[in-house]
This record gives sequence, C-alpha cells and structure tokens, in this order.
Amino acid sequence: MLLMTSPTVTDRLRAARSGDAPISPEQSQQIRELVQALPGPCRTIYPRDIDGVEGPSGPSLAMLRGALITQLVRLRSVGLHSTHAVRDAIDALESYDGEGDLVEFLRHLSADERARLHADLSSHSHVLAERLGHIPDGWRPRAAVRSAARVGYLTLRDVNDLVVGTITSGLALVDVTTAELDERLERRMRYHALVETLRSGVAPTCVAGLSTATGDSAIYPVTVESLHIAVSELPGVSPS
Amino acid sequence: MNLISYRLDTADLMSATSEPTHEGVVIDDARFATIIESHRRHGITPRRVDAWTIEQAGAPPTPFVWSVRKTRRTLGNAAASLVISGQQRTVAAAVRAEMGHHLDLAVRGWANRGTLSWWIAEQSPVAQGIITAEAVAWASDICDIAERSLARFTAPSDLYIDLPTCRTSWRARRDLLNDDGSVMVRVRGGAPSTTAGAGLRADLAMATVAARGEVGPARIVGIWPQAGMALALNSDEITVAVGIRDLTAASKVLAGIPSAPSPRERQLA
Repeated sequence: MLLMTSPTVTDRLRAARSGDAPISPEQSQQIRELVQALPGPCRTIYPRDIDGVEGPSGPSLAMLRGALITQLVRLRSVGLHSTHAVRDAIDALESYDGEGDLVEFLRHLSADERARLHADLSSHSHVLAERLGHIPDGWRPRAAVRSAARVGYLTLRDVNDLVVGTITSGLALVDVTTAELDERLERRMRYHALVETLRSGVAPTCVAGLSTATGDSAIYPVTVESLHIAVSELPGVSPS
Repeated sequence: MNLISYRLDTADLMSATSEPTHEGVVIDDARFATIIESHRRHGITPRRVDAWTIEQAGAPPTPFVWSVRKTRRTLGNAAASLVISGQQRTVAAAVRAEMGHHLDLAVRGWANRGTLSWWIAEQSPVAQGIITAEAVAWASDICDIAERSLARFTAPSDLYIDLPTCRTSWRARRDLLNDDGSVMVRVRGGAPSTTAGAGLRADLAMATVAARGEVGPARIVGIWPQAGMALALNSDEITVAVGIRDLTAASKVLAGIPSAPSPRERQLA
C-alpha cells in the first residue's frame, strides 16, 4: 500500500485506472466459486464485521460525524462545493433522512456536544475539500452506494462512499473514513473490492482510502491475490 | 410462475435482455371488454393500480409526499433518456439539465402545487444537490444496463392505461425498452422481495393490455443493481391471464369488497 501526501485522491485514481489490466471474468468467477464453497450456516456480513470492532448499539457522535461527511462527499460528487460545510452537511442529512435516528440524535445534542461536533466537522470537511480533488462528470461518480451479494451461505452487504467509472470502462471505489488509515481500513477496502466483484461479476480496478482525520490517502490495486485475502478475512473463515 | 434468475455480470445481463425467440401475447377488443366488465363488477370507485399494489396485496396506498428518494426515478430516467439518445454527454450533465428544466417550470409559474417541479423549487440548494446526487446514481445504473446489453434500448415513459367506464387506471412502470418493444426492463432498488415476481407479472400484463390489438412485450426483466440480481419473466397466455387476474383482485380489494372465504374458512364457519 502506498501512503501519499501531495496528489489528491482523484489524481491518483486517474493514474491507477489507466494502469493495470482488470481481473478477467474467469478469475472473478473463480473468486465467486471460492465464496460459494464456504461452509454454512447462512449468515449476513456487514462492513463492521470486517472491522472486528463492536460498535455502539445506538447512534453516536462518531456515527453522526461519519454520516455528515458522507453527505459532503455526496455533494462533492455532483460538483457542489459547499462554503459552509457544517451547515450544508446537516441540511443535506436532514433533507435525505429527515426521520432517521441520526437526525433525531442530532436534534437532541446539547450545546456543548453541538459545538464539539461543529469544530470536528469543520476540520474533517476542510481535509475532504483539500484531499479528494475534483471528480470529473465523465467518471460517473456515485456516492453512498449500497450493494449486496448473495453467494452460497453468505450475504455480503456493503456501502461504498464513492464509486467512479463504469463496469465496462473500469470501476474504482473510494472509502472516506473519519478515522486513521490503518490495517483495519486496508481490510475493509479489500472487502469493498470483493463485494463489488461478487455483485457485478467484474472486479474494480482499484480501491482508494482517504482519512479526513489525517489527510492521508492510500490506493490499493485490486488483484486476484487481494481478493483471495478478502475471502480468507471474512468472519468465520479460517485462513488457509 | 416461470421466473428465470440471472446475475448481473455482463454475460448474464446480455442473455436476460437479448431478443426472445417467442412472441408476446395479443389482447383483442373482446378480451379488453371482458377486463373492463370484470372491473365494473367490483364497483366504480376511483382506483389506481400498479405493480406495487399487487406486491402489497392490494393494500391502499398512503398519501403521496415527495422526498429525495422518490425523485430519483423520475429525474434519473429522464436523464438516462437524454444520455442514451445522445442529447447529453454525461449523466451528471443530463441530471442538471433535468433539474434546470423543473426549476424553470416553477419559476415561470407553470408548476402546480404538489408537482415535482414545484417541490424541487421549494428545496434549499443543498437539498437540490442531494436530489441531483440520487438521480445521478439511479441514471448511472440505467445507462450501465443499456450499455452492457446487446440490444439497443431507449428509456421510455411509464405506460398509463385507463379502463373506460370503471374509473380505474393502471400504471405499468418501465425503465428501459428495446427497439422492437419485445423486452421491457424495470430497475428496482434493494433486493427482490418474495412478491417481486407477481409485480413483474402485473407490469407485463398491463403492458400487454396497453398494446391492445398488437403484440405485447415478450419478456420483462426486473433488475436489482444493488443486489446484483435480475429476474426475467417470459410472456405467455397463462402469465398474462394471471397478471390480469391479480390486477382485478387488487381493484376489488381497493374498492373495499372482501375477498371470498377460502375453503378452510368456509369449513370453520
């Protein structure tokens, strides 16, 4: 994995997407067969299961922060660069999910918690604006894309913060995290690639990660080996 | 019901959306008159029936209110149509053009209260951005399907069928249609439910009735991009007949007429 500081995620994606040849449909099929052969029982796997971290059962400030950053990614994906990021993120969340738990949680924050969230979000949104870069319309950017793949005993669910490209021209997935870039994120990026490969039958060209906490970003080319590792990292699968 | 399940890889998608070897069903005037008669028998109350009504077993619809999620299909399909027909180069530009068109209608005062144009104009610029993002995601899926299929597709409007004298209107949703009209495609969010097949059958039956006197679609394909799944249903006399029966039954339920007791219920009584 390459850690980088100066070029934006978009710059690096441009380079990566025009590089290596994608994984062949036969190789994608082999990955599917590998997952298909995994033993039961039936279970559903979520991205949080890959992190291996037991999250809070209800809404939390961290979840709210993540959801608000997702809304900013959404706005940037269609070329809307907000000048009042915090206000816009809240407005966007309320317009998208006005009745949701997180909006309710936001409405009940104390003044102190609100101020803290405001400061936190300002910092993250600044990094996002600086480090994500301009996404060309021609890349067909889609934000907060849900996906699922049901293979054998498993149902793998996922949400991609940003998807660019098409299945015919090559896909790239971007994970925007408010945490630091670490091994956990690397694992999750492999999971994103695996779910997309199983869902569409075509492996993405690469997966990128951007930490709005540190400004670090990483790009991760999808290979047959990385997909094999992703299968072995599924919960309940013993590494071979 | 003979539903054929496909995955969303390119080979499967091509196979699901390829031109069928069989023909669709023809509904003649006499059969159409029978459909009207069977609806009239179940009252002459205003009813709107679509595939969703069938999937919900005739549950009465809740009052319609626009939301970001509800705009994505209308805007997304219109934008996909612009891209597929070559009028716009990118999906985002096409969605922006559609948004501009709706805002223009509202500014000129041509949008009535409750219409999409009116609702969009009422939203903040940020909410309009989120609406655009949702529509871009939807339109991208439609364009992706059209590009990966062998047949040439267009993104047509939905079909509306009014049954004369019984105040019943049907709406058959369709997101893509191939050149000769033999394959219609519906794109859905989430994953297929257990009643998804009945919904596809209803859309197929309505499209066949809409083509009255001519051959209806030979196949309907339901595509769930998020789940990477597609279900195809071929048209034949029985499938269309059962679809029409479901639509009639839904009309009956919407008119508040209780369904006939089952043999078990009769036995218990």
